[in-house]
Amino acid sequence: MHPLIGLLSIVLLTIQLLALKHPLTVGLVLIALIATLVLTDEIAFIKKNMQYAKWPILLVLIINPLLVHLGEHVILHIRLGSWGLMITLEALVYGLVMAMKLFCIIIIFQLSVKIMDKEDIFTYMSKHCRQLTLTLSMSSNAVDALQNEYERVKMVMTTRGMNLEHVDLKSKFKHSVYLIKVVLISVLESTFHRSEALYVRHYTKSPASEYQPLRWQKRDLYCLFLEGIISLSFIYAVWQKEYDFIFYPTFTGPLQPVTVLLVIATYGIIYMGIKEQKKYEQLSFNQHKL
Amino acid sequence: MNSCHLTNISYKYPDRPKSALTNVNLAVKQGSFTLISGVSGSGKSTLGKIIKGIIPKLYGGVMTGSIETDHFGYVLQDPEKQMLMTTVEREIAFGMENLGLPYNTMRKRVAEILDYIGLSHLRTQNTKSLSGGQQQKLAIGCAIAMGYSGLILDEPTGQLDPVSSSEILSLLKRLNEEQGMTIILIEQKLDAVLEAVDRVIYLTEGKVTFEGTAKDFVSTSHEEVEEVLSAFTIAFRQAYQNRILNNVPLSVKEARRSLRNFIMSTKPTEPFSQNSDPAGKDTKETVLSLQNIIFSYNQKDRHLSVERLCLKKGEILGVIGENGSGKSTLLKIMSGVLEPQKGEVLKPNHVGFLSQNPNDYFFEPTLGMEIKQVMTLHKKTWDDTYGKIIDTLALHTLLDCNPRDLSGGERQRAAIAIVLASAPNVLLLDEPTRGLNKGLKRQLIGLLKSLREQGICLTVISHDMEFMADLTDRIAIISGGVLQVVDRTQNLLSDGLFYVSDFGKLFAPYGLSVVSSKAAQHILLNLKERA
Repeated sequence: MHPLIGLLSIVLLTIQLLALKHPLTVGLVLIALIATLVLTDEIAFIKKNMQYAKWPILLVLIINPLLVHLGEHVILHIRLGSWGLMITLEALVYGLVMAMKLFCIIIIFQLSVKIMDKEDIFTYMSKHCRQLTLTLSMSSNAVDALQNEYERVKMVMTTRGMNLEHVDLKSKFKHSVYLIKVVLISVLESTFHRSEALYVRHYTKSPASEYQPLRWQKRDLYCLFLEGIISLSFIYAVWQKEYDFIFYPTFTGPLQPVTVLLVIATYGIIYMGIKEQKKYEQLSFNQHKL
Repeated sequence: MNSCHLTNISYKYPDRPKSALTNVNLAVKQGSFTLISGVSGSGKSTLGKIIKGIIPKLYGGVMTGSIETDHFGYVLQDPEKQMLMTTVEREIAFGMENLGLPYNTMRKRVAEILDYIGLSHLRTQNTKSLSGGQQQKLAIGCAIAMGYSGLILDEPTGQLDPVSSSEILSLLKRLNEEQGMTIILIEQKLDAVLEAVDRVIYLTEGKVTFEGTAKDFVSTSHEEVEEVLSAFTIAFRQAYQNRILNNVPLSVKEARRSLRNFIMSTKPTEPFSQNSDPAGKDTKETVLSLQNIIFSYNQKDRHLSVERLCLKKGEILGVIGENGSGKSTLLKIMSGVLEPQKGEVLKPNHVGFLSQNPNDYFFEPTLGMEIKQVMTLHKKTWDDTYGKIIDTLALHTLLDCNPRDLSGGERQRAAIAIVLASAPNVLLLDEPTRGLNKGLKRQLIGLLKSLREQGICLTVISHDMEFMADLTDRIAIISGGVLQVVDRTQNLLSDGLFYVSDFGKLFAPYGLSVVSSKAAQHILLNLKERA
């Protein structure tokens, strides 16, 4: 898939997801996303990457019902003198919707490397938006480094006698702060090394050429056309308030089929992209074996 | 004609009280092979980065003086951190793409370079799957591809095994001799480098204190040079100073030639004295043992297999093998960080572990606080032992510094001190000599041996055969993820092909099993008496 089509698909899907509010539609997006991953045998890849995202998702899920007490349907109310805890169904569902959205967005960004060739994106962006690519390259390297450094530093801390599984909360917190500090510094150092490596290879100093020129295929043009129609339909749907949904004081707003259709159409493009990328990787693998 | 000309260059890093370089004057001739050497923190890498233009552009700081240079390619120390693309051929093409070279030129050059560096069979391979040596070759290939007439390499063999190191050095020699490329090699491990270079520049605390040929360098009276010379060269340097030999040989071949003449003329009738080094105590108490270990990172491939390995009280075991063979995995299993899928590990409660990256040990703002924190965690109190550790590792002046501001070698010493502060029963060290110069290595050997005397058993991974010869009692060789052999150091390092000390290579034809510098010096002194 041409990098431009891949990037447009990801942006389109993310914007749609941000606009969606109806709990059923967001749930449907999540199911569609998991189905796409199962159909393309990518579930293991996501599982591995989700281990770092599970805590923020859980936090989003819990924090809203605890802090927001709006909503008509009270499902739990505890009074303890002047202090009280009230959880409403609306606040709980809102937290759930936000957590699902966060989960979907993380998966969508991770999917981007599965629908496009990493090097094609890098070359394409290096040519058309050089300074932005430099920032993106450093940021993506930081995410990679974060995972690697976390595992390594955790291991070193264990051998040093710092028990992260400590029962004592104070010690656990103190050791976790150490871990975060070292990991962050290591990530910064790793990013700096990358900038050195990019500098010595003359990156962004002059207009770049292409070792593997990117060519538009017929399929790319069909996808571009389809994405154009989806984008226009999306704008029209937003203008017509098809995406509106209110949580408080109670759930208000119908489920609009057009919003579901648009999401499914965008998924179709992404599904095709993953399949095509897999074919390309298999071809490269066969060439290497030959 | 000069490729690079530096006049009165002084440079100070931001927020550092001292200058890293002071009034450096340097001229590098086109097509020459120049070595820049010096102890850790002497300003070698800073000088290389100034020539390339990385400093002050990326680092900031204040630089004075003038500089005129051709364009140089630059190869960093850590091969893994230089890999920017996914596949080998795209990695080579990346620099050319940035220069905007035409498509046909790039295709032709990638094909040529892949053949030249011997990686054409790995053209579509993922760069992360390459070994350290292959990655470093690729990094050199990438720099050549950009069409520069010169190349600066910052300790390119610092993290490589002896086989890969010799391959990299051969590649550099070919580039210099066949292509006429100007090579500036920054190195403090001078084992096999000296015979290849035309000129040596030696830095002491940011100042050039020696400039001349390699022959002059090894025979100079400048005492500090012994800090970077190999034990092999030092032994012959002392023989030269004692007037046993007429010159200091730069290679094993040259040494063998002069020694052969000498031995033929003295016609020895009795064997030379053998190594009198202790080969470790043969105590019976096993402190740590591994039996029938099978370990895999992904449940599919077998990454390490060990049939049987025992570590006895007061023993120092060395582990050698090519990059990626499973040495670090073995240490992680021994420390209990990794659990094998099959097999039995018997280990004491407190095992100290020094990983490859010293930065992982720095949590506190100063080194002193760092050491105290480890001692508090392990309920230890400050006594002479710790004073000795600080003395041995020469860390007195660094206790109030932020460990992350230290130079590579200083950081390594700081990490060793932190691990030792916990007073472990078993100490596992993964490449502890990385970035250390000769003197510090000697001190480290002394410290580790004194720990052995206290009953601590040690396992050390290193590519430095001299260090292994001087320190270890037994050596284990790992190849392809399998522990192949464990034998006494004397036996293993005296008659190998690559995993052998320079003394082993030199004396083996005479039927002498010599691995350590002490034994070699003893033989050279015997030669004088015979003569």
